[in-house]
Amino acid sequence: MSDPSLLILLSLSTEDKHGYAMVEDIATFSGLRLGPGTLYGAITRLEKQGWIKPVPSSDRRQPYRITAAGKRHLEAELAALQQLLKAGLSRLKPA
Amino acid sequence: MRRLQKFIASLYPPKWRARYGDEFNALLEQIEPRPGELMNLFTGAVGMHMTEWSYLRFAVVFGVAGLLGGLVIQVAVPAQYQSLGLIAIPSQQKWVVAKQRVFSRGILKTVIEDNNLYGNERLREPLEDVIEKMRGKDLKSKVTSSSEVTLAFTYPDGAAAQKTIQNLMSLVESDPEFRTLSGAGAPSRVSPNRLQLLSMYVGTALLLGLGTAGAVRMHRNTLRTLGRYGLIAGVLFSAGSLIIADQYTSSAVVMCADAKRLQAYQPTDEQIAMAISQEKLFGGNAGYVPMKDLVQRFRKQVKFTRGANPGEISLLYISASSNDAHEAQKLGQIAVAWVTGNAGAGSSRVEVTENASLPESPSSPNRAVLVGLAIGLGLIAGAFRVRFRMAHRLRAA
Repeated sequence: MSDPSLLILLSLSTEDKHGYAMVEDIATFSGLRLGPGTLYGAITRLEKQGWIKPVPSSDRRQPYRITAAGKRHLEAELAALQQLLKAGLSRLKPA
Repeated sequence: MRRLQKFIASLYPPKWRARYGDEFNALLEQIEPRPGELMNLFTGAVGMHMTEWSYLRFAVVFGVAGLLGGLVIQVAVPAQYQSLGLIAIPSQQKWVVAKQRVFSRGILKTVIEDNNLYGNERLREPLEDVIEKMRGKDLKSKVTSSSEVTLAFTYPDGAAAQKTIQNLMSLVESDPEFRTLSGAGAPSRVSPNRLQLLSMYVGTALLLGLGTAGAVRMHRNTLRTLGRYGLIAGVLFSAGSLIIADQYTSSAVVMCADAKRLQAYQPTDEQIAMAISQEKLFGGNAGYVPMKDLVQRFRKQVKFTRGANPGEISLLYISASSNDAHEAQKLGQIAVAWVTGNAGAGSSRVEVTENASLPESPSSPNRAVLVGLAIGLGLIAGAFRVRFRMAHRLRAA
């Protein structure tokens, strides 16, 4: 799973985060470190799609929150991955 | 490094910076500006510009790039020189026959070698292909009136172009019915159709631009699926095309004064069967495969086409194809021998203007076209896959 959009949605599924916190969180749970260009490219797309939204903040570092539509999309993507994982594991099981 | 990082960040589109600039800078301040990060920042800036561009802007930018590229290519391409000669001909029909002889492979091979033409091309391609290029592109004849023909040769070396026309005109003049009206003229610089060339470059760049505009609007996974399907189809077809055997074609041209005799010519089944047995054609299969089938195979592989030149003199084109280059030539030579024997049985004058030569490269299959087609089909299959997947996910959600 290396789709930056999915990684960001997953990172925001627990709590609101700003860019740097997302980079650190994603590196912790996936081992992948997103570059600033990739991160903000994905943030721009996700906001445009209505899957995340900025949360008011006094800090320069802008936190984001996952929307209901973003959660639905994340659930659908994870369900597809789970199905794939299940099929893959069952095939690897010794007969 | 920090300064470079700031500079690259300033390359993001102004509209985007107005919305995200402050928070983006805050993030950059927290990140160590390593070379990998800087490259990521740069590709991000380029990508962001592209996603902000409209189709029109893509078309304009790529179109201008195509125009500039076309201009550079035109300057870089060497100049071409053309030498012309004017010949008086007895009739157009006789010119068609004379042209067959003068433009034949044998004559052009000698001219190319004597004048040391197409040095680079001859290193890269078989001589057969170089002759075809000369005949199809650089060497032209134009009937300017019922009694005149212009012969023109275009080549990067003016002196060689003039010498070539001199050679060819002296060959035409070896028949006393033809006469030089104006000898090989001093070569003049010819300019290519710049407008046509530039339109081609700009058109290609526009298509490329619109394709890119569509691609940057696609989801990353969609692009990946399309690329994967295209690649798999391309690789599979490339491997599959190796199964298709190469086909070689040997062609010949025969001219005869007795048009009716030549044009009505078709070998009999007995003639073909005898040739198959005597010459041990088709890998010596005569003992195992019924002769009737081998005769059919011969008829399929050797074709006789009448030249569009009805009149007292006629031309017959012979084309023989096979998976084996030597067999293709052998089949062609047998057919030429039959035609000359049959047509020349009377008092008619028969001339082989172009004998069946050994084909140097296969005439088919065109593997590049096959692979291109396969990639196209793969992309279409990928598009269907993406659509199916989206529909499935929507149902699941």
